[in-house]
Amino acid sequence: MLNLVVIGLGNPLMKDEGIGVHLVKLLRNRFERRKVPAVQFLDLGTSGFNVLHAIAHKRKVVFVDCAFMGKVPGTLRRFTPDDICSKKDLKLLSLHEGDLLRVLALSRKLGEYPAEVIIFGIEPKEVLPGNELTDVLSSKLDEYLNSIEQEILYK
Amino acid sequence: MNKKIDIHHITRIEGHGNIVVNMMDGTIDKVEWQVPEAPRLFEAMVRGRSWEDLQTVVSRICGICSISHSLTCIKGIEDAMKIQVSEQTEKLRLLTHYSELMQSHVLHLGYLVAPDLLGVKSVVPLVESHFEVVKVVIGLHRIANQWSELLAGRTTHPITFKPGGFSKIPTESQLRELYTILLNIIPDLKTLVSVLLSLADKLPDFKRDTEYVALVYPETYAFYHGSIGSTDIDKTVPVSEFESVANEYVSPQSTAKWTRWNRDSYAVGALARFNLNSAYLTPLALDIAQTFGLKSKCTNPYLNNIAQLVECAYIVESSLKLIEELLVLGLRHEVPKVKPRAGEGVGCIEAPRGTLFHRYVFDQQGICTSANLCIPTNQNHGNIQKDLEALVPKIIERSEDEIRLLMEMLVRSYDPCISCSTHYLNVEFV
Repeated sequence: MLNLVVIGLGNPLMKDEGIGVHLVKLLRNRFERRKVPAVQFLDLGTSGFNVLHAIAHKRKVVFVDCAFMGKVPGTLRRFTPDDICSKKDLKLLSLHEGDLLRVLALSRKLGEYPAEVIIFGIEPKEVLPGNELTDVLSSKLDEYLNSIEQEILYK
Repeated sequence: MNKKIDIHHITRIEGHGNIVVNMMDGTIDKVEWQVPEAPRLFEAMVRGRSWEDLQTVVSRICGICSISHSLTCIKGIEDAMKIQVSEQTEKLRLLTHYSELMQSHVLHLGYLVAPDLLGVKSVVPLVESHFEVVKVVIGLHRIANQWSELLAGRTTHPITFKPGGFSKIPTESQLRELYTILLNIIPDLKTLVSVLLSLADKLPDFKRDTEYVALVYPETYAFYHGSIGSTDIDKTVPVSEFESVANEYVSPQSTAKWTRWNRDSYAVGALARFNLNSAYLTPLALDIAQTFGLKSKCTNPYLNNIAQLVECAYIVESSLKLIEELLVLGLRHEVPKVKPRAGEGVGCIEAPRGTLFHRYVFDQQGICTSANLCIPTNQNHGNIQKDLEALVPKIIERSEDEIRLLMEMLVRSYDPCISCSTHYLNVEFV
């Protein structure tokens, strides 16, 4: 399991936008309690480009992020970067909102791309100022944690 | 001649800003810098929070300037609660602050400005056409990230800052290692200087006289302490009176608040700092400024990019000195002993994009009852508008593509941070 990084993205002050950060914190606690070694958990918040450095040459990277996927709010979906294309209204690379897919494209061009990249996207109900997740997402935290844990431990 | 140019959701700056130009029969009807960002309400979100939690909350305002927001917040808390900090804490904080400035400036220059100067749309195609340059930029950014992580506990959204001190400090051997790393990046910095120097003629020769505002402090290129200085007046204003400088007002074309002081608008950021404090630059930084012909009283907003490059050298040279001083002092584990008390305080710092102010009021339990945050980008909005109004008539005969590029480059030179609060994916499955 060496060289495995789990990265939470998002802002916990923007309700469901922070789901990735919340989940990575809970996962870190869960793994510390069980003394599972050699998994790195990172809360990269909204730092965008710092992802480039955090994933360089890793064996496996698992992202957890809020994702508008056109699904029912609360839906968790596991996918790879090759499964999706961005609908963001950004034609070019941006420091912050220039989305994850463009940073991954840069990593690939630089020859630093991890052997495996998995994204867990969670459809939000609300992305608005607020500290708490909506009930739709908070009622499913265990389900999310179990799915991501399976990915970390067994895949 | 009729022209209508709308640049919506301008790219390669953080967030959303629109430029609108309308021209009818050869007359410019409208030039507008619009900021349609939804209000962020962070001031409301910190009300009711404990003084102990505040810095972790405000660190989420921006993914690029999180260390600046945290430090400004901590300084505001310490001002309100009359908390003194040690010389070691002051030096370690400044060293941490430098790491963020370095991260942000390198990111801006390498990933946003270089593509403009090299005539491509993003850094991605540069990997193939200018691999060595991209490698240098990414190397510098990576080191700045590690530098932040060592001191702030994370590359962004710091966790080691506490009112009164640090929860964790680096070891002396880690500081020595950082010293060596910083010494070794100077050649890479010089490479970046050479590359940008060879492209400097691509920066437009556009000047507009305006007011520049930054922190000033005796004999110092100020980033951390000081009072508020202006190129328009000799007297300085204490940071505790920042509202009398910012004079925030609502503009109909923006949901962000705009500011003005001695004129219709003012500018903050690297060029403002350079214009007010360049007498106190370190040798390499001064040498770079001279190489580019950058002199105090510069009024070309595009040269904010060069001022950032000069500051990169200043930051490295000053950090080397700070580390030497810290090692002479000898690092001590200090436990901040702080009790909350009622009070009001202001924190101020020179964030990468300019002067950042936070004001807080606390009750006796240390609960925040009121907050006012004034960010650099809001202070620059009015100046961006005035620059565009002056620029567009000068370039209106050019092609739409050229006008578009020059306006975008102008906005990007301010490095505005408009919407840093979200980072969601928006995808469809293929």
